[in-house]
Amino acid sequence: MRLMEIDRRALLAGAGAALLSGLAPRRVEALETSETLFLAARKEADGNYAVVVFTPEGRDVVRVPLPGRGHDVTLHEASGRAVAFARRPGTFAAAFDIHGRTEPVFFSSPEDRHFYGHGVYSPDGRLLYATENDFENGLGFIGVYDTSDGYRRIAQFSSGGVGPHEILLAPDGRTLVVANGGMETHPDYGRTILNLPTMKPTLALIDRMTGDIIANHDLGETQRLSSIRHMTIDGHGSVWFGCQFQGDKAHRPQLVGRMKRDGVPELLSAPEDVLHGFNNYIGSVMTSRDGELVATSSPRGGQVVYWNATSGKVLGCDKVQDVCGVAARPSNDFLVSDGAGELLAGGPGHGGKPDLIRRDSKVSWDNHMVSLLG
Amino acid sequence: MRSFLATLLVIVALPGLANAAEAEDAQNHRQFVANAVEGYVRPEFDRFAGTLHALDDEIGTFCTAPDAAGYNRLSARYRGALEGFARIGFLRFGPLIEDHRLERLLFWPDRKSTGRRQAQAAVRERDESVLKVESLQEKSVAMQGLLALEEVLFDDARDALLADGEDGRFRCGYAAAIGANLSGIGDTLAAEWHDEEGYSALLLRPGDDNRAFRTEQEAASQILGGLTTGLQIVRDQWMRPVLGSRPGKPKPLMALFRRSGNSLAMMEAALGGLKDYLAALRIKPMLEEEWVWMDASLQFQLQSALKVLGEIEPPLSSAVRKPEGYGKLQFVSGIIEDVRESAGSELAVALKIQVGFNALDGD
Repeated sequence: MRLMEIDRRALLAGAGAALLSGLAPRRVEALETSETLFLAARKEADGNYAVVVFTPEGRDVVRVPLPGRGHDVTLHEASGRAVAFARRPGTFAAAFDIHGRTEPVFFSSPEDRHFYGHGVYSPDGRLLYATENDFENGLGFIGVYDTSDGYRRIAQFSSGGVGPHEILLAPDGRTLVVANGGMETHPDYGRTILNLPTMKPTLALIDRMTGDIIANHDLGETQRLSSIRHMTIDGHGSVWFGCQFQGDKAHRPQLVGRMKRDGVPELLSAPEDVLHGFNNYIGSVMTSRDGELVATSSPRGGQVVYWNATSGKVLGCDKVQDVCGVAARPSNDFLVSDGAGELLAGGPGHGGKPDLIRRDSKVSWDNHMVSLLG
Repeated sequence: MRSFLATLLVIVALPGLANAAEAEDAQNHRQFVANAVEGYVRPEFDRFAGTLHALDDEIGTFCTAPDAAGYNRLSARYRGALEGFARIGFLRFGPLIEDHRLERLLFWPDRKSTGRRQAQAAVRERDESVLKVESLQEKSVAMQGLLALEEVLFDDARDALLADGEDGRFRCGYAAAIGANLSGIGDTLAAEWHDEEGYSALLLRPGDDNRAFRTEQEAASQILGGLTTGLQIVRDQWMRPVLGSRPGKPKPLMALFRRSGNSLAMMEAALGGLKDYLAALRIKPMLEEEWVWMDASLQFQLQSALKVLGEIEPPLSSAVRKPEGYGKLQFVSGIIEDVRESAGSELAVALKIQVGFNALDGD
């Protein structure tokens, strides 16, 4: 195992020269006793950004410095390939080996495009699909990158909407599921939403072989301001999605929904207390190891809510301030991360009292976290 | 025994102290929200409604007998309405964001000049549906507000209006519908903010049965967000597009209300409004000693920004083409970013309003 450290100046200069240095012996030991690994982006104590691979105890095993704030990390388990994307509207992506066996590869979105923070690998790990914004025309695209050729961009197709955010691969290995958030942005105006009066979020199903849009679902006119952003696929093959409501807090619409196989998206009914705790905002949506639980987090409300994947009912809730990242743990609960540098174990079985695993208050965990279960 | 008793007393007293501190924070947050609503939000929305009625009336007066003096009065009323908007446009919670009222008043950023193009087309094609407020409200929001009115009354429209021909009269009819639409929205906003059982009740009376705000801190966070959002709007939506992405390469055509020469007036009004909003919050008594300096410091920075902005010779689109004007706008933009940073981090901490890494500006 190697710890990857990249000289920041070299990176910014585009040289990408990596300096490899050995792990401290204690860390090697930690690694050998555990096969489960987690991946997430974070802000470091010195104000810089990185993506890290870490053990269930929260010890770093691989660390790749990033030129700016990261967002999601996409993992291809079999090959150990992973890629961290810039937070929207960023333009960089960092591909790295989760065991640090190779030097990271940095690549960028094309001119007039920026990344939207998420991507997904093809089943064989050869291709990477990334959500992109064609900001001059306000159109969403899926960029296709060839991992065997330095992540060269080889194709693109429409995302079926505006502002594509998270993208997943359906269990058939062929259908891409894309959450088109519906919100148009342009670098001239930062993160300002440019099309609020006309925004129309969708859940699009796309054939990754042809780029054909198989289906493009919306939630109806009354839910037009609920931007569909994050998703997970449960053990039944249902797509769970979480929305971010763009209207006022005086309204508390349902934000979590489910689209069963060959069905249409339907919002679930969370009790009023739970809705208030979301504060109109879902940050991450994640399935448990056995596929029977779904966790939905809200940094703005400081809560993680756990759902029964079969019944669609709320099972429990953990209150954690500035929480966002949730990843499956081998024990069938969830690792939960927050902006105050905490890693916690939470789930419906924790009775609303998540266990603190590690706290490093100088760092801030970014929105998403994924796990490689040993 | 004595030490045991002392320990016991401390153990008993600590929760009491914590409760007392919490109660004081809640009291401060309640006062903070009340100061905002009563000291700024309500009076400013009243004033804004007044500027819209004045504009609406002046459209009527001018169009009855168009002349140069009347046109100047109309221009002044229009500027007054824009300044009024700039002073409330950052209060993006509650009444202003219901029913897309914000966008109906001003659709901006408008990257593709949708409002201008649609308003132009309506005038060119004599689209009668823009002459009645009811049918105008059914159309694109970009055709209904202050930016569409600029296209109808200003830019190259002066001659047509003064000539009082078919084109001028059509423009007057469209302007009258926009004027009525605007003053109607202005009245609704003011009325809703004054409604004791309406949105302000949510802000002023947090609690477990309050659908928007459970705690005083949540409500206070919304109020503080008005300040940071406002600073972000002025900088990101009004100034930075003009400064361009490459230093020294201005994009004067990106200036908001450039065609009526009101770009600088809008910026000044917005900054003045934000400064007055901050003053109305009266934060000083709520700050602990180590943070007391923040109040005067933020006020001073906003004052400096206003002063330098005032030194830029209008119109902005000409001024930024010269290094001096460009430099000044850049300087002001920098101060605004500093104030926003301080308000979103240090001031939030000082006021015990939590703003998180992931929660502040979400994804």
